[in-house]
Amino acid sequence: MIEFIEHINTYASLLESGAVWQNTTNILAPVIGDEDNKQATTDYIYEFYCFLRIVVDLKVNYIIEFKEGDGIYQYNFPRKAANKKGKPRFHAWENGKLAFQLCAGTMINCEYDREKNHPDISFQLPEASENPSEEDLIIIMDAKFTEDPTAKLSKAEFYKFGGITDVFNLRETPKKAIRFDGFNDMFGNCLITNARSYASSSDLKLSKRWAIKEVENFFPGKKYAVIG
Amino acid sequence: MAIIAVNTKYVYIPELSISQFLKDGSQGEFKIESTERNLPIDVGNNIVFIKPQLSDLVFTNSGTIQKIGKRDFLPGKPVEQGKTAAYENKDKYHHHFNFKVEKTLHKNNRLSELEYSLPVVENYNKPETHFQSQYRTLVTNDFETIVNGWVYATRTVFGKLINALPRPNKLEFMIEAMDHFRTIDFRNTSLLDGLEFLYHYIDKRILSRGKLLVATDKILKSELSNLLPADQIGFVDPQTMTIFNINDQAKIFNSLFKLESERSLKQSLQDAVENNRGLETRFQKIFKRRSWPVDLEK
Repeated sequence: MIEFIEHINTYASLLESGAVWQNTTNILAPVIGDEDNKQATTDYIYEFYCFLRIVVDLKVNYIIEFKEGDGIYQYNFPRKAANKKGKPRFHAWENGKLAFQLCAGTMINCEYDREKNHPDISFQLPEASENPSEEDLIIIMDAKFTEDPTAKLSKAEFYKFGGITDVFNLRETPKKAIRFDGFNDMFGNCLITNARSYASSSDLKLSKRWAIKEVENFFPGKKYAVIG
Repeated sequence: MAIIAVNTKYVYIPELSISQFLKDGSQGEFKIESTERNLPIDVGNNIVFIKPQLSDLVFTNSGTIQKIGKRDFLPGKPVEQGKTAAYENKDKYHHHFNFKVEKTLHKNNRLSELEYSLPVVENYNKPETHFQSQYRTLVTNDFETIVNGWVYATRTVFGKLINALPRPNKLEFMIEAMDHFRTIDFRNTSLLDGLEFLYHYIDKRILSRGKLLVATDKILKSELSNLLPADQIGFVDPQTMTIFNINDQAKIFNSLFKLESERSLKQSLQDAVENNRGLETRFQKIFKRRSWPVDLEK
């Protein structure tokens, strides 16, 4: 059995290494600041985890291809939202034809100039350019991580996402069907969280009106549920 | 009666330069250079010998002063004209002492193991600074702690964990703790309650990200490695162009979670406390009204 002192020394030294990104001086979990801790915050680690889980699900019904980015972005995804050009992404193929593009944190233009936005995950039409607009979008997803998994997504988060489905014209039937496998109930504009949904499953009027699905408890080792 | 800790980095003891410990029962002598004519070291005083090892210090042996030896006078050099007096210009004495080795210290004999059990240590970033001189005096409690290799388990876990965090996280934790415990100095806040609060903080801030990284790394390796080089996937900060590699970071958290699954740190602490009930009470008295051992400068 590991001695007490050796145990705490080993644990503390692993914690010390883990709390800072290797070969950098950047800390892993930056201080949240004045915001209420319970509020969902943007968290690129969580966003990327959600992105990959979706890619894996799509592998069942599509041939998935990884498109390398340019230079330093060859295998690295931008930590913050960025322009699409030169960044890595995935392409989904079916019957020898490109079915759609799958991008992480890509900037999307829209008809209201100031309202361009960066959905965490965007499903884009096969012909979407390197500088896409809302015309290229099929569906979008946003990922919200909170440190309190019992918290609910806030009204502000829900309304903000509702605003995005509006400015991007995503409230109608999607331009193309996406054939998920296990995640088939996630075909739609999803607000994904490790915590709880804002809407209640017994009252989905607003979710339907704004074409929002909320995916709650989406976290390793947990069973997610779709509300909407 | 005074108890003396002798740092053999500054006080030459030939046997310790060639071996790890002094022999029990052996005798020897050492010399201390000082500008003081008299030193607070007497026949019968207890001593502990310290040997530096990498960045750590090892308490090798305990012993007693057998005899006060000769005292040599070394007159300081005259001050040259136009210069101010320096150390070499001061009169000095070489004090000689004879000692006998009592005991070899094997258990928890490193400063890194005892740092949170010795009230003399206040610099948790560089605890060795408290012993960086030819000798220093110790109080009886600390001498007992060192000779027996006793550890204040709760304070050691608290101190090691919090000081393993990056400074911004430490500051954030302390602010949350001040708010939670309604105190600014934590002198009357139970260390055990503080530790619970710290476990919770580490879990929500750091380990939650660790879990995500481990899960992401697993997906890359087991589900996507035919599409991309799993070990090379990461993030780039577009402003600084710094690369954050997922696999490198996940490896650390994998080791951490493996260690925790074999035996939880909480369990380890609980066992250490239960096996040494009396010790925790002894240390609680020694550290009464002491603030939490946090180094907020680094």
